[in-house]
Amino acid sequence: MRHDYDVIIIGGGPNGLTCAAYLAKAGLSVLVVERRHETGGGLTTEDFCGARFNLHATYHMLADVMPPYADFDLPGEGVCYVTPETQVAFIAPSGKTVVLYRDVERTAESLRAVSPADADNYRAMMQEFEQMCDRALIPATYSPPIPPVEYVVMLNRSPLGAKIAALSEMSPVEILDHYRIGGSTLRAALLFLSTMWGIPADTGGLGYLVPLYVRRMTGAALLKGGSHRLSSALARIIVRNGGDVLDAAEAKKILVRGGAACGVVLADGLEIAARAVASSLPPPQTFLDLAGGEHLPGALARSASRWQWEKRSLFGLHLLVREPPRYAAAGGNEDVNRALVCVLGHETQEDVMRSAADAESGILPAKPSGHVTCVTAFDPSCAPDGMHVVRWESSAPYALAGGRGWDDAKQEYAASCLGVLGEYCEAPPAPALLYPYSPLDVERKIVNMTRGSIKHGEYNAIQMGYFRPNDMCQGSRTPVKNLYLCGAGAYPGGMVIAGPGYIAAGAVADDLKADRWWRPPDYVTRAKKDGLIP
Amino acid sequence: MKNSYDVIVVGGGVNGLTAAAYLAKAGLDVLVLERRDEAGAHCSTEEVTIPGFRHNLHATWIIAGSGPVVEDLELENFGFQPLITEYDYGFPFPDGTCLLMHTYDFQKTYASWARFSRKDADTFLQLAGATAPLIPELMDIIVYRAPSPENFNRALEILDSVEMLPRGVIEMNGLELLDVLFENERVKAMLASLEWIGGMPPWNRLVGALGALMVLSLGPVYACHQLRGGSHSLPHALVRCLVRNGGSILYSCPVERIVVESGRAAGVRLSKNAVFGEMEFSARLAVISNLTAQPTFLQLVGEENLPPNAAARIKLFRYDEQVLFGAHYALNAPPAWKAAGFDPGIGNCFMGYMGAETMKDIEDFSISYIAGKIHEKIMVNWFVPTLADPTQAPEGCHTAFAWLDAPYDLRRLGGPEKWDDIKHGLLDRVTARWEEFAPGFTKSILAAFPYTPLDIFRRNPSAVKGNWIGGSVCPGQLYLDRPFAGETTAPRTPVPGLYISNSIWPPGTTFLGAGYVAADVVARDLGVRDREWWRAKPINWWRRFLSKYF
Repeated sequence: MRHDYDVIIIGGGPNGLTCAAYLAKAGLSVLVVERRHETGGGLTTEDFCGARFNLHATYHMLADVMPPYADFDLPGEGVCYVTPETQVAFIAPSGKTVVLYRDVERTAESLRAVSPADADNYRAMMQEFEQMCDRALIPATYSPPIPPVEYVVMLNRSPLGAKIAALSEMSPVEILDHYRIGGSTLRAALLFLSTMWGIPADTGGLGYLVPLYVRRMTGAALLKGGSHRLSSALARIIVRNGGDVLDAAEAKKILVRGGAACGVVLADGLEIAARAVASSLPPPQTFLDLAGGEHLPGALARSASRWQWEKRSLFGLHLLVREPPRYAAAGGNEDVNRALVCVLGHETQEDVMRSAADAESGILPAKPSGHVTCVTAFDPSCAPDGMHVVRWESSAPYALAGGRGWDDAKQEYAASCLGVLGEYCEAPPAPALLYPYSPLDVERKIVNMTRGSIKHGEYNAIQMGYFRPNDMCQGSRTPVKNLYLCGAGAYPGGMVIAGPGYIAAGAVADDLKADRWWRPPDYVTRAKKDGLIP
Repeated sequence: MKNSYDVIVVGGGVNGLTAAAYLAKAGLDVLVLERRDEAGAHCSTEEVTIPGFRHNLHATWIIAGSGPVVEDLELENFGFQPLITEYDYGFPFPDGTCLLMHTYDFQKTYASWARFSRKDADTFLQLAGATAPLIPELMDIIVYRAPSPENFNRALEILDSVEMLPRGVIEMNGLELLDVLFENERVKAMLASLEWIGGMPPWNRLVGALGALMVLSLGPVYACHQLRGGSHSLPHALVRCLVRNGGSILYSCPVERIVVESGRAAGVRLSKNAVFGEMEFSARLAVISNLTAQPTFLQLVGEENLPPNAAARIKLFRYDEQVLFGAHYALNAPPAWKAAGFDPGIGNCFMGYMGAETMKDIEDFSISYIAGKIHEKIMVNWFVPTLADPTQAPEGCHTAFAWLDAPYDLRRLGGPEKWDDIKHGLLDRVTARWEEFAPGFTKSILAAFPYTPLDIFRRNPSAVKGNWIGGSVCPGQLYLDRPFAGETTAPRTPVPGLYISNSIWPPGTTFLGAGYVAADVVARDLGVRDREWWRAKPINWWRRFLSKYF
């Protein structure tokens, strides 16, 4: 193996791989070092006796709009999505149910039976969300940010931009008020979809995420064969373009000489030189653990040491069953049994907020709420013939109140979750295999998801947008020369969106004067022309 | 997208990948279609207990380093890094003693054995010394050449030239041969156990005898390795080599049919569950199936495309032997062997066997197995992979596991689905056995995972009955007769254009011989065999390898 490269990428998750794939195809010699024995990070699919469990990412929400999808012809690499027409069934304990479809009109029609006002307001809201997402918010995901003051000025020059700027200041609850979403079940459902990935319901400043989450969670796709298909395809593209991928190789140190990054030292002592290093790890790990505080400007070290991890994580329960769940609460509405995601356990907006508050204060409720997907209903390849894979997920604390350990609690909590699922089903599920996956397990498997932070760090006003991870890092560049950030701790943030990796690839390619062979997606070009993104 | 290739390989197990990578490197346009989410069916590493603990669910002692594939394909450039412990094989006894085989020094093996029987230690040294120089040619013609009557006769000639061996080895089984050669019960039990776990059940005629001879050269002659990161790094390296050489692999693409047109294999059709749905790919030059014999011929090719005698033969193809129950452990300390007081070497040994003391034990175990029973006395092949590769567990922690040879069918209990019911009880029995040999073992367990033959089959239906070696290695399924005797010898098949790289001789182990042989024959048939990097004959490679030690 060679011992010097143009670029070393630390971490082989969706962003590290995306960054490496663009750079390898640009003709640079690229090495990805991955601590685990398998690349993918949150794109992990694990095979338990023929049952494929996606332990992390399952719903791919920007699947076919993320630039690598077209730039690398990912469908030809077997990255094939199923996007169910019936997306979300929100089933309240009382049996009241809201079903959300990809097609806004269809959803509106189904809402009309209960409340004509809800139907009209939902349609109006979704029409605005669609415009905001397609013309500004999604393009912004793949373009470096500018300081917020400048950005707000820019946005306020157009009516659509002004709406986005105003929305951003609102909390999710205020946004629902703004669109007059009144019906309690619909309101609870939309609040759940807006906040399920960790943003607070009643705090303003990140309002622009609401249209993104609601639109994405009503247009979510499953990757056929399992989420790992995406990372596997990216890894092959890297290798095909001459790049190397080394797994079971933990980076222990970023070599910094004369104020510039110049290589990486692995856990086994191997030193590998590079002209540039791109880290997909969160800021504390990248700056403090690997580069070392002594090589950093004081302000950067301080900022990294104050990084805030997420207040809640996720608890997963993965099941192999012989019969798919059939919801008794469907009350004759078969669409409930066709939905990609079934949300269980909340009656009202307050219930949704209480679940989040419980998770943030270390409480495991006796009656958990969560969302459930029967993966094999859409992709039979994920289980042995005639069997089904079901996943349950709920917000959960990393640290449990009272000092109880997750290893002690997780079987019991899994049984509670299974109990709740059983209450909603015609027949309680009888799993042939049951695998609980706690926030502690998240951190054990992917150590840089510290305290179960699946997005590498809290989404709040001082860690988002231009400030992710801080105002000293411009896009993916850092104050340490030749050191770049390409992970979820950098702008625009986490989830399987490939934004940080894509933006970093552009910066590295430009700085190393490599061939930037790719062109921005048309929607980015258009948004720039419209003055909706920098 | 592209739907026509020179060669299509069905199944991305390590031998299919080996064949594919050679052919891609030889300049052909190759596509591998894999049913699962990852390649390397029986080289898988999964975190089935606690995240951070990497368990090799199948192949754990990797022998690829002892063959030409690693060098030809430059696998070390693709993350393949073999690791060893000082000792290769440890065999503890209930009285706190143990027998060991050293990884590269015959003298150290001698010293261990001499404490039990100087005569047997002498026999070992003489026999190993006499056979070692013959190994290169034997391995060359038996493992890296397609079966032929000429090679078979030459191999027997070589064996006959070893004066120490009794005449008529071809007639013998392993239990007999070991009895004839050695005097000490424990030495014999250890060697027989090694045959068992090496996939050559000692009771079988010829197979057992060959197995007995082969295991004598364990260590220096064929080294058992852990791979850094786990066994799955072997398929990773092969896939990367394939892709770097222009080949392709598509996952989650189960093949439903090998398309036979005008009597010739012309392509494949995917199942509706494939990521692409029921798509067809055409193969301009060849199709290679890396599935085992029954799925290949009865499901993919179809009886109607086979000569009647071949179809009948495949229906009788046996999968009963080489079926395993696995007990996987996440530990906070390595096993503290009682026998370490007798010989500390056992603490620096990543694999071995425990539970048998005499040849009678092995015979009783064998009879239970043949009778379709789980033997009362637990005897298992054990591993502590983290002693060779600490990356397979969090710092200070370890993984361990035990293989128990056990029948798939469980007919007396009501059928293979009973495995789901008995697995936890059997796991406890294995744990209890381990506790007898390594007191404190139970306390060191953080989590455990039982893995049954039914689980293996569910995960990989090509492993019929969970069989790990492409079908029993037994008389009738040996060498020229594997998978069927006839005018066409594997890896060629009765269907022109269709080759197989599984259920052939050599068996599909991590020697990667099956894949090598398939690549060799296909490359010759397609006229691409003559490549600069592929000129070194395996025999030369072996000579160089062995010269490190002799």
